[in-house]
Amino acid sequence: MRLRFKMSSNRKTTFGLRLGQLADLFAVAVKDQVSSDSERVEENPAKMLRDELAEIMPGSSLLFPAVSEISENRQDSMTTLAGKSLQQVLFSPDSSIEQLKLIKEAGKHLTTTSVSEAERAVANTIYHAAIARCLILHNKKITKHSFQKLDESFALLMEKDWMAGELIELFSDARRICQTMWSN
Amino acid sequence: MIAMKADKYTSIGGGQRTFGATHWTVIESIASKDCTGSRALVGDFLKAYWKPVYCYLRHKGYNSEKAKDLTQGFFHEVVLGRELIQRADRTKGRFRTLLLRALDRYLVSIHRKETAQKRIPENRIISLEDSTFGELPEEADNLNSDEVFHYTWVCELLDRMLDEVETECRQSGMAVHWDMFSDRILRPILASAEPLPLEELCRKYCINGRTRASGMIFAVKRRFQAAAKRLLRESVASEQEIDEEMLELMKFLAKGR
Repeated sequence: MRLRFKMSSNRKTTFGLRLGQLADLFAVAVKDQVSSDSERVEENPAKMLRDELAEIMPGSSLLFPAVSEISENRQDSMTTLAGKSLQQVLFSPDSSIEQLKLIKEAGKHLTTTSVSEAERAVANTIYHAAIARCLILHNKKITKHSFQKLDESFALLMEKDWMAGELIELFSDARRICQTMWSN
Repeated sequence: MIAMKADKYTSIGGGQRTFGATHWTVIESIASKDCTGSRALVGDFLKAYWKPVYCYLRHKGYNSEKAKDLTQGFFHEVVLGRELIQRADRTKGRFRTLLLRALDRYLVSIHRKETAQKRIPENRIISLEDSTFGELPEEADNLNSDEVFHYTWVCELLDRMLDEVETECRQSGMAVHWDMFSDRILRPILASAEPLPLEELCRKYCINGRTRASGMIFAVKRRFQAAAKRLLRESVASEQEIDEEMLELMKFLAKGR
C-alpha cells in the first residue's frame, strides 16, 4: 500500500511549547477545570433575557452555539435561525414546528451547560417559551411533560420578577390551552 | 542540538475527521488487507504518529536525514508491512506504547541487518518536506526519548484539537466566540501573558455583559472538550480508556509544572 501526504508547511503549532504550557492547554479540555473557572460571573437574568431575545443570531447569542452543538454543525439547521432574533422566531406566525423544536432542544442543552444561575434561568425560559409557542401556534405539544406539569412550569416562570412582559403573555396563553387539555 | 523557537499558535483550520474509527481499527484494516475504503484513515493515522516517531529518533541521536529514513522504513515495514498488528493486543496497554516498543524492536533489527537507507522504498510513503520538523525544541533537552515521543504526540493532538475547534467555530457562525476564547484562554497560555479581563473583551467585541462573554467562551471550551474526547477515542480500544488516557496525559504534562 502506498500512501502519500504532505504536511502543511505554514501551519503554526504547539510543538516547541514548554511542558507546563501544554499542561495548561490540555487542562482546558478537562471538564472539571471548567466548573471552577474564574469566569463564572452572576448577572441579572432580566437583562440577559432581554439581550438574548433581541440578539440577531449568531451574533453573541448564547443559544446559537447550543443550536450548532445539538445539530452537529448542520448548516440547514443553523441557517433556519441565522439572521433572526429569538424574539422573531418565537413570535413569528410563520415559525415551523421544527424551528421551535430546535429552539427547545437548544434551550434544554444550554440548561445543562450554563456558566451561571442567570444563564440557566434564561435557558430554562427559552426551553419553555418554545414549548408554549408551539402549543399556541401549532396546537402541538413538543415535550413528554404532561399538560398539568407544563401548566405548573409556565405559572412558576410567570411569577419571576425578571420575566419579560411578552413572555408572561405567551405563558399565560399557553396555560389556558394546558388547562383545557388536562381538565378534559 | 539546535533549539527551535515555538511559533505563536494561529491555526489556519483543519479538516473534519471521520468519527468511529480508531487507530486499532486502522491497523486491523491494514492487516486484513481491506484498505479500499480507508486510505484517508490510514493517512490520518500516519500523520498522527510520524512526527512523534521522528522526534523520538532525533532524541536518540540520529541526524535529521537518518531519522527521516528510519521513520519511513518503520512505517513502511512494520506498520504498513503488517508486522505491527501481528503483535498488537488491545488488552495490553496503549497504542502509543505498542508503537514505541515496536519502534525499538525495529531499530534493533536495523542495526543487526543492514542500513536503513537500503530498506527505504523508492516511492516514499510520507513527504518529509517541512523544514520546521528538522530540529527538536528546547524542551526536549529536559526529556528522555520516550518522553519526547509522548511530548510530540501530545503536541500533534493539541494542534488537531485547536484546528478542528477553530474550523467548527468559524463554519458555524461562531468566529467571535473563537476569537474571544483565543484572547482569553489561548494567548495567555501560549504567550505566558495575563488573560484579557472580561470587561475588556466585552468592549473589544461589543458584547453586552460579562456573563454573555463568559458563556460564549465556555461554548468554545465545550467544543474543545468534545474534540479532545473525539480525538483520544481514536487511540484507545474502548470508551472507558478515554478518561484513563486523559489522566495519564495530565500526569505526564504535570512534570513540567
